[in-house]
Amino acid sequence: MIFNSFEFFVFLPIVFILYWFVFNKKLKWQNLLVLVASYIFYGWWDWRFLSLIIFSSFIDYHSGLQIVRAKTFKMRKSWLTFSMLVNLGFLGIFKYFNFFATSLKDAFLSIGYEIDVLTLNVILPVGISFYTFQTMSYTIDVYRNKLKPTSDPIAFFTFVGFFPQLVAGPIERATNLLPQFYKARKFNYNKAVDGLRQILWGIFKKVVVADNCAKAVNLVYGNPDDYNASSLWIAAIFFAFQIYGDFSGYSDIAIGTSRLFGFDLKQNFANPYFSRDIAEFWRRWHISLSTWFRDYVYIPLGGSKGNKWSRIRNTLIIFAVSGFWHGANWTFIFWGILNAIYFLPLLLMNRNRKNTNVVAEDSFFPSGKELLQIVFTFFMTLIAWVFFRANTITDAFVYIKRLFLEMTFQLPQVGLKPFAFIGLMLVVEWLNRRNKHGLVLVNVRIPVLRWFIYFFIIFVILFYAAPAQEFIYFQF
Amino acid sequence: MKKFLRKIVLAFILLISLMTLLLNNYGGYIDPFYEKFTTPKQFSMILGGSRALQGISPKVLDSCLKKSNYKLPTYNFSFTIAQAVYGPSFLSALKRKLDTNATNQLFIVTVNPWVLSNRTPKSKVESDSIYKNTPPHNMNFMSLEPNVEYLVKNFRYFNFESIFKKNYFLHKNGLSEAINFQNDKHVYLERKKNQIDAFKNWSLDWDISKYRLNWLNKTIKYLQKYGKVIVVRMPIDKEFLEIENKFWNHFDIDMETITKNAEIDYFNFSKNWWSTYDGHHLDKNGGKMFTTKLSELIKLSE
Repeated sequence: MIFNSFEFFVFLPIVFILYWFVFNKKLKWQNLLVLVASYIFYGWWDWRFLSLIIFSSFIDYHSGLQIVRAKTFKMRKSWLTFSMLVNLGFLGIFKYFNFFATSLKDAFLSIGYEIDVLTLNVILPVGISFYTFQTMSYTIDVYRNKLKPTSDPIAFFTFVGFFPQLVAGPIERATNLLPQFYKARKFNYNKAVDGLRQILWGIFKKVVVADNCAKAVNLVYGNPDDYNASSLWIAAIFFAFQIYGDFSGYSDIAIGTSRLFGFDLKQNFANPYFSRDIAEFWRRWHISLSTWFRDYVYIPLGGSKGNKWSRIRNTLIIFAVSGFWHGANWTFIFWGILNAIYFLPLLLMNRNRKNTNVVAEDSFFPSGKELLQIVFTFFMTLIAWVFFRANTITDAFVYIKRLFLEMTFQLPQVGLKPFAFIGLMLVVEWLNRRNKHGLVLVNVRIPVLRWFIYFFIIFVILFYAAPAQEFIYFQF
Repeated sequence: MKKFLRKIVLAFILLISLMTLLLNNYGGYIDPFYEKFTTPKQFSMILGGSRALQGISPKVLDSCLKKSNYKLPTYNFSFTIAQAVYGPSFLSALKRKLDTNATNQLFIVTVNPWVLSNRTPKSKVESDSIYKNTPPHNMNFMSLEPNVEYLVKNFRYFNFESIFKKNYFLHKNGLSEAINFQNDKHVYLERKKNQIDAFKNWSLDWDISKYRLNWLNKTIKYLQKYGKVIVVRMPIDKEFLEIENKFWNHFDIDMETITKNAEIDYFNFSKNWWSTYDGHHLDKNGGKMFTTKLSELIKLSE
């Protein structure tokens, strides 16, 4: 089931009513309802893959308990290794097996040997990278004594399968989400209303901004040779906003939906395109994944401690792995490495934590310098996104070469309408840059004005929603 | 919680009211088929794909046939090539829309090789499953205003922006009229080229369908219970006809056999020409002239 579907429009109110009016007497029943609802939500896409989630949940539930019960350090480590192997094994089989097999074949071919490799004809289960990472974080935290293992299987299985964030994040930590299943949730009017606002804003970003950009992006990236350089520039800009609208929109809907049920998920995007340098961008983009890699890969590798070379190595590893997480293609790895190259000068000059506050914190407009920094940072991410979107690294280089070498003032061959939606989104998000999401409306005290804003957005959605596209991040 | 629910319900009512208002006033612009499911059950229908949807005017037919004994007005219950295929689910939808309280009705069943083709020749069993999520196949309520079922099931086809930027209008009698159409020669040729390319692809991928022919027969037999049925092949440019003839070279013979067996007329206009906007869809003027000619033949065949 996807958020921007009629099925979800029916599903959500039903679960909401059952949750607050029928199953509200006992916490366990309420959790069970969320679990069943989550499995229906996921099974709507393909019920066969439910077994993977259930199996993965079982392995980590059991491993967590066994780690604590283990009498020796070796046993603790064995259970952790077992859990990691199972989870990464699933990822390896479903997501990366064919990539490694064909890369191996290509490598041998490049030195003159042709070998036959086994490839698997398997579908990539939706959201596998998200729930696998979520469940792995639990076992690692238990192993590190940061979290007590749960003996409540319903709470744990619901934590792994929690439908709002099951298929495209945010990747929640057990330390934040799991304890919320132990405590009775009380309906909070303000929280629920703000959750609805966040859902509305997420839908706007997805169906108006992202899907309208997608139309032009698909045309141009599908056949770039047919388009002039100005069209390529526009498609590159549109893709930057397509992926932002798509993914942050999904996160907004996920977080907003969770708030309707009394849960608080972590913020996943914090206006990344208002960043003044690439380090700030990465603190604001897909926060749940960046912090996951920081805590479970980067810091164990030594982080930013150690000598210059180990810092460079760790940074390259973390960005390359992060790119690889997005998909089994060299383009994603290259995208990750390119971001590392952007980031390294800041790290080595100790300037990577220079911009930790919100831009223009005490003023309405950014300063000229800040504006230039924002534009430059956006430009760098835009170039990197070309690698993310292109089919091959060669295609991406050809695309970028044409961007710069064929730059003439030709009329673009794609419509410019999405710029209006991008502009609207940026204005609203700029006004809310200090808040947790784009449509907080904390300063709009007149109820009629608030309702006007809601209906304005609803009508923009109705009038300008592009034909439905799947959420990009479903494939990761 | 009460306050929350009260506000949600209020917002929902407001939204539905505004939507209803928009659909009542602009339904024909917002969606290419919505209005077909808001009108009451109909007598005397025109069936087929987009050529009939845009090319056969019920208004012209009614005015030409007003002195005849047919139960008028006529209604254009045609769709597009993506939905209008003669098969079990189309016949079932037709049965739900047809008013069966008269036996002097007139039915114009338009045919061409594409609406009688098998689009999944590789699959073992031919069925209507690929059309099941499109109107009219997915509709149970054919005459509701506002039609909430249509809104829910086919929301993806709605284009509210058309209120400001009109490019077609679906009349209450079911005829779809292209409006604000750019029609200079260059655009016409570009459009025609795209359509020819599509036809060529279809002729490679699709196959002649005995299954659809059988359901065309069943549709004709069903309609004959309520009046006169005429099978019509509409006019197209020669480039299109060549592709169709190459794809199904005995198409006219097959149609003649079917109509002869059913003892009904087959009017083949495929070699005639009226003005189109892309080589095979009649434009407003061409549609009027063609419908007048068709009406004359119907009168003659009475």
